[in-house]
Amino acid sequence: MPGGDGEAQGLSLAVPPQPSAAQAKRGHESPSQERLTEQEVLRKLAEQFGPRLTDLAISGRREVSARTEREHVFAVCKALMEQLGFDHCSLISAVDYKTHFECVYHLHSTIHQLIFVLKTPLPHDDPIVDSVTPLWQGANWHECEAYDMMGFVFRGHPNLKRVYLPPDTDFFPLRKDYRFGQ
Amino acid sequence: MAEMVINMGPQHPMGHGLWNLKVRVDGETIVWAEAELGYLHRGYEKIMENKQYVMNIPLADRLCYAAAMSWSHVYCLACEHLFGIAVPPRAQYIRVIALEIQRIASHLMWLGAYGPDLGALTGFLYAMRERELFLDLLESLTGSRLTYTYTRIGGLANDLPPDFEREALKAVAYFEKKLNDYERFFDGSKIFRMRTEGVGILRKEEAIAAGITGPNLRGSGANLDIRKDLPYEAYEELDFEPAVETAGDCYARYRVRIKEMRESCRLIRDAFKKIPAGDYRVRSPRRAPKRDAYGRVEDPRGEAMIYVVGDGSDQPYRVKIRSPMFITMSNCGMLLKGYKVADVPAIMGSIDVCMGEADK
Amino acid sequence: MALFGIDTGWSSLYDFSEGVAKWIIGILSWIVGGLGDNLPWVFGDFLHWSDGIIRSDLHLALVAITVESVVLLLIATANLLTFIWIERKLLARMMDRRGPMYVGALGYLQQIADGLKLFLKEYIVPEKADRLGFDAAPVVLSAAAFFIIGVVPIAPGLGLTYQGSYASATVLLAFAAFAVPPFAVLIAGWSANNKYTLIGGMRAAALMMSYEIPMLLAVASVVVLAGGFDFVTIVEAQQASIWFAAPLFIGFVVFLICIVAELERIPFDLPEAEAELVEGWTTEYSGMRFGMIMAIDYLRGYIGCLLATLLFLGGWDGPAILPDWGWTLLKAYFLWVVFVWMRASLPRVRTDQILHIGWKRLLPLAMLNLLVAVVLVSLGWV
Repeated sequence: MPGGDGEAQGLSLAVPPQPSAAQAKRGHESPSQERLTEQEVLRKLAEQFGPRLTDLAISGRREVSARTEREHVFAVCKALMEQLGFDHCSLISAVDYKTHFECVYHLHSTIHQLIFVLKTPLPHDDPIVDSVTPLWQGANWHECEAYDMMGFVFRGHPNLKRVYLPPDTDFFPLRKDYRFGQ
Repeated sequence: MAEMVINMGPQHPMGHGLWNLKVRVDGETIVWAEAELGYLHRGYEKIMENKQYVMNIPLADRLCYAAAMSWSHVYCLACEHLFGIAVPPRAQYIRVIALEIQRIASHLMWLGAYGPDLGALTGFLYAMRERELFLDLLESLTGSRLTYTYTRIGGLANDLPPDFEREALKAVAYFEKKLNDYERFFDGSKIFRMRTEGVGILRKEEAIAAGITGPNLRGSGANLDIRKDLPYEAYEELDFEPAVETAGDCYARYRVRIKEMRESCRLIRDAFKKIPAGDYRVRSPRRAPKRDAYGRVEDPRGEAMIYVVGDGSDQPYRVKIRSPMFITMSNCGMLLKGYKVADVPAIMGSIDVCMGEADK
Repeated sequence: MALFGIDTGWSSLYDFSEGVAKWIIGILSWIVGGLGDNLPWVFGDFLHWSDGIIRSDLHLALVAITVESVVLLLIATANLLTFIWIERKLLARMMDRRGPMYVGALGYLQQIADGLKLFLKEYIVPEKADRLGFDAAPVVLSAAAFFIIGVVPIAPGLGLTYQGSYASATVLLAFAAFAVPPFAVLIAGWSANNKYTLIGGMRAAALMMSYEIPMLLAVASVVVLAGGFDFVTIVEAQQASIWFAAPLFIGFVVFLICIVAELERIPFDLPEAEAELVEGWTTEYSGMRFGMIMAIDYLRGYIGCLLATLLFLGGWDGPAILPDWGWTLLKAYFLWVVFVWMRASLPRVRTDQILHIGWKRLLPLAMLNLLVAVVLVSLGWV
């Protein structure tokens, strides 16, 4: 439920995993004593990225959110995956705010059972952002769908193709300026 | 024999839905596979932007028609987080009961389809017969058998009907005995085990990196269940164990689902013991605040999420649906590589494909 | 030969058909001879000469054998219909449903209705299919199946005989004909110009050919025990001692499994696995050709059960409550019920696992069985 504060205050005995150990610990279901708290995640990210991450806040129980510019997305995601144990990419959403686009990443840590919501604005005429598929293979089709529906181009994606619409479609249906029948 | 590209689908008796599987084979062995989706794409996200919040609930049901309660529930959960309203405890417990009954019905549907995939024709009829029990329960609760429109933003459409507890507990007790029959029919069949053991092996690290969740992940040894890890509704107060198997093959995924059915029976009984009295619904406002929220649940097929963006009006600005099957099917290549063409029904059947949610 | 308890005075089916043949020939000869008497010159001479041929012994034998074949075909068809009916009803009951109910009493006439429906369907041939192979394959399949019907006796007199004596070495003939279908299946799968039927045909042919060998070894063990190559000798040997299923139990089980594989039934269903390759090698056939292929499948089931009965279960051996053909059919139906039961309860085995079972499990067992038979004969126990 929203609005709850992290109650795991006194259990912060977790040691942040080394970059390579994160790979080994992928899928390790750690008991709650070893889990990071939201405050620790907040602190580490603020230390590492400083002004590049704005609106860094605890936005719910076991949930941290932040905004960043599109140039820093890959670096932030890499830090989250390798140093903070966010090993599962739950969702990549594309939102059209008419003046700009926004790409929203929901990342999940199976080790610490935390959710991280990362939002990044993209200019309306140039929705290009770095792909996070090299970090999480599961992001592959999320990004393909964002391309298919909204027209986002993910740089560095191994195979950006349309998954729902026929490959020769030339419009992006979920954009707000698309009306059916054009 | 030279390498051949085979198109398995889109019209296919095995399909479990309308999708195409392109497979490159070398003799009998698969060297490359890719799933082609989109045949059932209905433009859900665009439709949902043009309807009011409450009008989207029946739409969410039809995302995965085999687990409809779960999808309208996740949509209502997301909207409740968006509006910032708290559901009364009695409604939470009833939701848990309805969800667990739906989970059993969905797993029985899977079992009924999995048997004939492998040739055990009788399994279909036995599973359907037991599923009728639970569909009858849901019909007395909600009025329909397949797509319920039962949850509302802020609670439920109606309270439990009279005698529901007695009927549900009777059905659950009968079903637990029948599960023993299923185990004898499937586990006791040497041929079934020959076809499913050692086939479609998925390792835990690969699965998590690939975004696979739910029973498919738990069959590979990961003890990850959203109902236990980041609980929602009344799951925190209820007593159950996630079903985990370590082998990672089709047989493990089958065992996980059978165990989950037993755990669901246990959850239903526990919920009936602990259910409080009270309201079943809280009125929700008509207009949403200008922010975003998400709902994340353990669907019978994996992790289902809905991300809603509100803009101050009574229609959502953006609804994004995370379907577990979409992501699992993107990993067809990894699942099928190195196995034989004859294993394709066994492997794809064990994943419990539902195209409604994968195609939106 | 006793039919339904009445002693007919015929020593075998040949007597009956000889009588019918004489009657037919009498009529023909009367017509031709009468015409020959009335027509002048060379026409008359020609007709008289034909009349002579009609009255000859060779012609009598040919017509008698034809009549016999027709009778046997009718018996086989009646049994075929009942076999299909049993499968549909019993399978349904095992699956907690009813099966055909409305057409005919207890749905017996449903398959006739289905067969008639197939006559009404359009016969579609794929464009680039090899016509000769495509059309010939079902014919070859049917011919092989019908050939075996002619060779297998249901009762001592009720088979294709010439003046009461069977062809020699009928067992060899029957199993030679049983070995022809794999080729027909292969040709059918290839000539339809379809990737899937090709795969299905190749798998089916591989399956059938690899299961021929343990089957023939099991039959060889029976022949060793009985001392003769024709069915009457084998059944009489079983009547004299004990049904061969008892000492040759391993061989019996091996033989049954091989028959199930030859018939492409579940659990060895993969060439036809509906979940994968639609119908396997029969996909491109439509209309009555398809109906023929399906019916021949069940006919081969009938033949397989009959063969198993005659070789292992004593054929027409049994107390006199039922006539001897009644015992044969009863045992064949019992085996068929077992096959239907297997279909209802078992999943499908994968192709490479099927071949593994055939070559690595059944073949050694069949050889062991042959050893047992040889030991028994040399010890003189049987």
